[in-house]
Amino acid sequence: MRDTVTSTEAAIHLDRVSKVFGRRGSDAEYRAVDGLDLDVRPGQMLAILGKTGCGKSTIFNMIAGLTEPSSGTVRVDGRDPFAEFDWFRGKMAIVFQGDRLLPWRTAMANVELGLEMLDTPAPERRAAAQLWLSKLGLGGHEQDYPHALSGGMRQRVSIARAFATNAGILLCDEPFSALDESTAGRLRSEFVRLVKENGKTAVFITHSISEALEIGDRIVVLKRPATIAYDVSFDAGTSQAERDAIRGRIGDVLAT
Amino acid sequence: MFADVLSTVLRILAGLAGAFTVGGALALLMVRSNAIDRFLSPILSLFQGIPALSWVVFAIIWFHGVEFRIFFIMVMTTLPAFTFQVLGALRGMSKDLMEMVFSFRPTRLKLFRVMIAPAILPDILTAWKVNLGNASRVVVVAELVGATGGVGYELLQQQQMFDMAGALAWTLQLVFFVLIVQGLLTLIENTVFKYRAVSERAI
Repeated sequence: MRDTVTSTEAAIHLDRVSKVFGRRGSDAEYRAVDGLDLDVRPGQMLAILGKTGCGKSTIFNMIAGLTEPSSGTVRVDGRDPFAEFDWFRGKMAIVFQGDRLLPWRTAMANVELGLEMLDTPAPERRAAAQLWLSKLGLGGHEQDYPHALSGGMRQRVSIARAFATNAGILLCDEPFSALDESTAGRLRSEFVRLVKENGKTAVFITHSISEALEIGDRIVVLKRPATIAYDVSFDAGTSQAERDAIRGRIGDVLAT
Repeated sequence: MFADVLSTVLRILAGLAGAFTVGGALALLMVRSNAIDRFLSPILSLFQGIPALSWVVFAIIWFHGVEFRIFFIMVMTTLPAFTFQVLGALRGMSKDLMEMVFSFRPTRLKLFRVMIAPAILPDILTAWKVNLGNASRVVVVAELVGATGGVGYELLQQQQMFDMAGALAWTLQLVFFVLIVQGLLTLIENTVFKYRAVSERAI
């Protein structure tokens, strides 16, 4: 069941990527990612699973172009997301662990943020923000400031903000981990539906096996320092028994 | 009388605007470069310890124009506080929010407009409030360097005539002005920061 996409057709391509923090050769040197190879095909929903401190967020930041790899190559749509940072304007959107809403902006203005960077005219911007807020069940809250919204509502605003730019690639860093299970479950379903409907390529970081199985059509399990310990793909046709077997295997890999 | 108060008010505002502009620029440089920060921080700390009266003497020795002398004194006495306050505001910005805005790949101008300016505005308004009080005390001293008008000059006249009522009247006019500007700044705060959550229980 291992994924076999070639690098030329990959939306995201990591080739022998390593990331070392601290001064090389010193006691402070810390290897967060070690020679990682990973390809994500267009339209795939990849869930990256691993224990805390296994380098998931470092990989995430390198794909997002927020961190430069120490060695190896990261390519998104064939380009270097760190060196060609501005090229990815409007092509990549991120949903963070916390909602990270600007407190001085209303829900509507927060959703408009990405579109402002694209110089989208104000009427179009507002229409798109309105649409996505409505899709996420936030109609009537457009003019509310973040402090007046619940945690679940704020996270939905942040999802709307990511979707509003219509970026082809979505990166999500444990976006539902701070929410209660019932709210997180509801948002997960909405999120999967929206990603599928809009044909996005998504990378979803999580430390929950259930969440990875619910969201991904491929799961990569990382071991510290970030190297792939298990890589499995599945689809709607995968039986419950096969899913249970995958869950068991992931559990075994994480336990070792 | 009104002309004297007005000229003092304009000197205060010009001095504060000058100090804020220079201080803001220095703070931006300091936050971008550790070397500049290490170079400027001790100098500004040293400036903070220099009494306003020393700057008056330096201004008289170094410069000729009365208005420029006053402007120089106002800037030098309020510059360190403005710089440190803007620097603190820049350093206190949320890294998470900054990273979120960066994820949308903003231009520098847009980054400043959507993130930096609104994030540091509360601290900047507080800095203006604090420095306004300092500046209103310093301007009176600065106007002793040869000004032919202004509250400081008039206070000097009252002192020579030994007129307590006159001295009090000029002082109160200046205090009245400070209160008006403080009120305006509070009004701006209440309008601009309406997004802030307010707890029903006071601190």
